[in-house]
Amino acid sequence: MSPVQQGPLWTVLLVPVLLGTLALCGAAFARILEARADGRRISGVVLAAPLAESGRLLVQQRRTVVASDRFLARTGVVLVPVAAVGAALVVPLGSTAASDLSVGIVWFNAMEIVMWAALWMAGWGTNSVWGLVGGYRFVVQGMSYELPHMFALITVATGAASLSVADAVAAQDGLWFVVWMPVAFMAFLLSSLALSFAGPFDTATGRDVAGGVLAEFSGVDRLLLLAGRWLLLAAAAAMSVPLFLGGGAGPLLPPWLWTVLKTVAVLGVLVWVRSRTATVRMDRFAEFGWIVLIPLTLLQALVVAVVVVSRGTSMGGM
Amino acid sequence: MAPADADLLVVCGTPGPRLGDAIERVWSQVPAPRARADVGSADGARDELDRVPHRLRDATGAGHACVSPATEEARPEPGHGTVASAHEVQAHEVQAHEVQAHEVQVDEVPTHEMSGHEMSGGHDMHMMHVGEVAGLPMADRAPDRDGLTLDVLQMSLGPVLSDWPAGLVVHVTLQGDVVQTARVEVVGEPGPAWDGSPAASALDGLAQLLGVCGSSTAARTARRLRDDVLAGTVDSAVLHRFARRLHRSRTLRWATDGLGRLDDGRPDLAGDATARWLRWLDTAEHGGPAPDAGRAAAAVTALPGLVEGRELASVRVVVASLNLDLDALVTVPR
Repeated sequence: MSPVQQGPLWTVLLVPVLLGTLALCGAAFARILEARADGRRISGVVLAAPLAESGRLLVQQRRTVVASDRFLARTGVVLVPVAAVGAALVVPLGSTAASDLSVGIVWFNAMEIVMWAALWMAGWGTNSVWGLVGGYRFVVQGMSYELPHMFALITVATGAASLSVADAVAAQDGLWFVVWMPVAFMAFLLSSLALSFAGPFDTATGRDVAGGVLAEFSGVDRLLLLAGRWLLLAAAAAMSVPLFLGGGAGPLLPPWLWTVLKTVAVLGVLVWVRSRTATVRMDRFAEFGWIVLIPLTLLQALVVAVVVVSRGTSMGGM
Repeated sequence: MAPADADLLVVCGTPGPRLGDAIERVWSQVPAPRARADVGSADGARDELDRVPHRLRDATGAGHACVSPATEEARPEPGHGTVASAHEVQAHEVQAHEVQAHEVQVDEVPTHEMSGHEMSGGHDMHMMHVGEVAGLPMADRAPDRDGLTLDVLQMSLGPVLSDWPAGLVVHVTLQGDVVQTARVEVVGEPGPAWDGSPAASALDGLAQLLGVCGSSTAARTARRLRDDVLAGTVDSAVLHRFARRLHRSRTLRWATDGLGRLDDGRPDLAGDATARWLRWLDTAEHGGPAPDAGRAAAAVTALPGLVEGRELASVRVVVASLNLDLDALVTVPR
């Protein structure tokens, strides 16, 4: 397989388009699952529902609450999709990446942290008790998923002896990381759902708090938040491929197609899990995160580190 | 789930004056384009709902007097369009230029300069100003149960809220998102108590509980099964599969375990929220006793004690786990 290379500058423009398409596919799949639960027929109307919903929100009136901090709230709202596209910049499609940063893994992580601020700002800025509760819930959730998530990323970086996504893909030549880092992979998938505040980690926008962060947003603001959430989930699914599933590696088909196929499969699993689970209460998840996930991911990092050292791999890159 | 997300308000039955006020307030928060359907009695419901897509198409917004967050899970008559499909119709057909005229915000107040400064200070704001912002009183502070001094928020849950018994109001005092005190009130005119199938009532309660717990797909299935039970077309194999799936759902148990425990009282309310929804599943599958007025009264009496000291989210789960039929309440216990 050819190594991952930096693509020409125009490929940056392609990132939002591809990510948006992927996000639309994910949203459409979620609609299909909903229609099945309703006992409705799967038709074109169901498949087009995400687009129709976007159209509805585009023409809907925007609203604000008395004495809300509109600057803060709207900055937060805009940052959500921006962070998602930013995170996707370092994901290689086949053997081309829009941006092959030497610290791509850290960049991806940094974009998620932007999400913390973005969602909290959107929630706080609306001057509504629901938004406030939702915003703070996301921060609490972040405290529970972010450390296992970072350990999962560190495990990959240790295995690849580099913080570059291209090196991570290259290091999986022969053996995918998912095979000897299954715990890190699971932790990554769980935190993908959590960072895109999708069920079972949707307490920040829970129905029990009337939509939480979303409660007071309508029109374009709501569209940006909802679309941003899908873009994030798509970006995280796409990132799992170079990190754990060998990137574009695979027989017969071209590398870019393998990347797409693997990404769609991961996204499908995430959307399915999302639809099958009830929201996990924050106190329970905090307990699980700190008592189960963190030790497990640490142990995984330790195992990988021991393997890397005993193989005598050059650590010069670190 | 909130007025911001609705374009349609459906009022079922005849609200009393106080519930009516609440409905008007919710309606005032629904962004344009919007439409409202007042369904007085079940007889005209189908016609009224059929007219809704046209009304939404014609809705230019502002001038109309309309109401609350649409119960977005429409209760379609079998074979009829759902409210969801009304959304879709509307999304295509409303012209952009119609809406531009209404970009003025619903709740906007002429205090831009305040909203810019006062609210961005975060913590300073709470330390410095205890007064008014935009004519609204600021939150005051008081010691909480952990000995910290936190903002005290007074807030009312209900009387109209998604997945909530219409007419129930729980006045809560919040610190952070922990309920310090709670007071229960019932508004609205009581209608006839539910005398239909206990299985349908159990599935309806289940749908609300699943919705509150974030299990939206399962909630949809519960609603569909409820409609099937009412129409007499329920497939017992589907019902059984659904029940087995819920029995096995660990995340659902995680969401409801240990909440709203009632041990000294009626057997049909006994146990925690999990025990209650497990009984509903049983009722849905194998039938069971019909809920009576005593149950609703006992549940309303017990409610404040169940939610005090709990997180805001738990309040919703506790209320949903009681499956209150407020119409069965003749007198309101205080």
